[in-house]
Amino acid sequence: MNPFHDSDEVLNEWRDIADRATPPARAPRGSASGSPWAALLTVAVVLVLAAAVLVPRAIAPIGPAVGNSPAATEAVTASPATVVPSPSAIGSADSGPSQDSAATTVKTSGIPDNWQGFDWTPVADWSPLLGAADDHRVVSWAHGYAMTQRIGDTPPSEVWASADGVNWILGPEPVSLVAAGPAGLVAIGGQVVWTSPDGAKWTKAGTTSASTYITSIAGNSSGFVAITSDASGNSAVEFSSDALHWSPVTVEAGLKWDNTGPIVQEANGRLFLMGGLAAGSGLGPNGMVLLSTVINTHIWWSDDGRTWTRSTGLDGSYGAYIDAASGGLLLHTDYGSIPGGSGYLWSRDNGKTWTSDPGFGPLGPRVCEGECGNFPDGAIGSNGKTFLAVKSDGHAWTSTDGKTWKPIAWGGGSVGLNSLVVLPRGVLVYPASPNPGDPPATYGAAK
Amino acid sequence: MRAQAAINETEILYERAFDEHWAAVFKFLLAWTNDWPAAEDLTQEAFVRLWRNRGRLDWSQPVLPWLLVAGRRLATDRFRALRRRVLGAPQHSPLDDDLHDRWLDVQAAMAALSGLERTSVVLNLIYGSSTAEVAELLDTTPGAIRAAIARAREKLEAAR
Repeated sequence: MNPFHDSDEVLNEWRDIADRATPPARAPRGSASGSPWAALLTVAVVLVLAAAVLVPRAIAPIGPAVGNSPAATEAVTASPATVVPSPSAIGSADSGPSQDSAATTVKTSGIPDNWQGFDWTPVADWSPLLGAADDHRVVSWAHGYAMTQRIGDTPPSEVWASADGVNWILGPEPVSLVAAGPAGLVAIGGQVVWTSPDGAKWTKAGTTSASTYITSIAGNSSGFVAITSDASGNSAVEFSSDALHWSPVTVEAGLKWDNTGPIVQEANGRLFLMGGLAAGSGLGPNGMVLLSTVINTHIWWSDDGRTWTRSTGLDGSYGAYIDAASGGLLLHTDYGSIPGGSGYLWSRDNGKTWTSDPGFGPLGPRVCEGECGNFPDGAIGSNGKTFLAVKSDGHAWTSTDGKTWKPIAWGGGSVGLNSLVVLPRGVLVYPASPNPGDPPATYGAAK
Repeated sequence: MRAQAAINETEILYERAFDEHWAAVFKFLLAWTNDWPAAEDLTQEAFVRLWRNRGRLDWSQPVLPWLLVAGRRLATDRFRALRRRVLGAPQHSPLDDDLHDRWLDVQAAMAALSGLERTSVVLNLIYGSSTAEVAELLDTTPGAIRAAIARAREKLEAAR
């Protein structure tokens, strides 16, 4: 039980405390100023300022309308007149991630199969590849790949698509969700629906119902399934063949979702629905809010998006997302209990049954002192074909089924929980313990 | 000489932006993350990015929205945020004991809300930004913000 009588009291207390925050004594300055490239960069920037045309973008939550945006400055950085190649910023065209002069394409080289190791290149902190990979998951479909964020609460503004896993093309903006359906890719930004038959050409197809907004979407050859939320915060599962016209789906009679809201995802051509039911909500020790999903979480599967079957084996954790490979599925889960943690469940019948894996595949559990949660000692990701497991000590393996693991040379540095993004031809790694001046990520081109 | 003058000018502008906007960026990121140390770290990172980009900005335009969007992009990588929590974020508490205890109560109450919901109620209900302004900042629609605020109210009332 918390000590507040109503929501206004919570917010007033929030403001009173937040207003007491004090800034550091000195404004931080990035390490770039100390590098020999910084002088060149700065001089070039002066020249740039004379020629640069920053794209106006009105964003004014607290201040007035503005012409500066991170995207705009990043675009200028990469424009033909202003390219100042930091040696640690942009990889070579052959081995690492690179971006073209207009920052509307990104290249992630490497081989698609039989990985033996990686060639590593730092990724620039303004690289669009970082923003596009926020989801840490790649949508694979018949004609290639697409990347964006998975659920709507924390939307990025971009979608990137690729036919070959090497050359990525920027799609429409702003877009927070992407899925592959019968006629191609669908991307959704707010209530605007964009469609593309190939990931290269996009058309604004229309808008969804104004009364709801989509928080999660997935698609397969049968159509699309989405989670919608109305003005009261009620979640619903809906089906559509075109992502424009939606109709409610009854997953099971009488279901009421918890406040967390369910999510949907496609994996290996099958649609999955993961969520918690409202019945189990409550408060835990010390007034901490526990996820109702601790005791009442479920996962359903469907091939047509209309009829759903409850999977078996979920162990009281909350399904977060699924990694797919050609021979199996890995369900990543979160525990709402204290001290919490995450879990791995494997399925080798394409999601009908799940088996908990307390050993986290080849990783083993992370060792720590005290109650610090149950987490894998590293990370596992996939690109739709292959699982890649990397332990914190730098050992790495690949697998297509999650049972048989083949050692692979790593060299990508320390890996922490969920710090991998496995792409079709390589892997993005976010450093587990970044130091000031470190690149925000490195790309390993598979070889 | 002209180049040096321009460099100095951007440094002055940067320092001014830090003095004027640190609090707003911190509060925004505190709302988004519900985590005091993380919000401090992310605010620091946002200003480091501003420093790195200071030569490319159009300083005749307001810089606060740039900082907020940059901060949100840093913060919305929830996996990195989770990693930061799990693998050892700075655990210092910048608040005195009494304030720290009060913050834990507020934090627990706000934990039921998503980042979108928290940020929406903080910006809209506390600081008076319009739903359209909040929606633009968070890359969503005014309707979604209204829904988020309604959900947030409901959750805060339900958690009493």
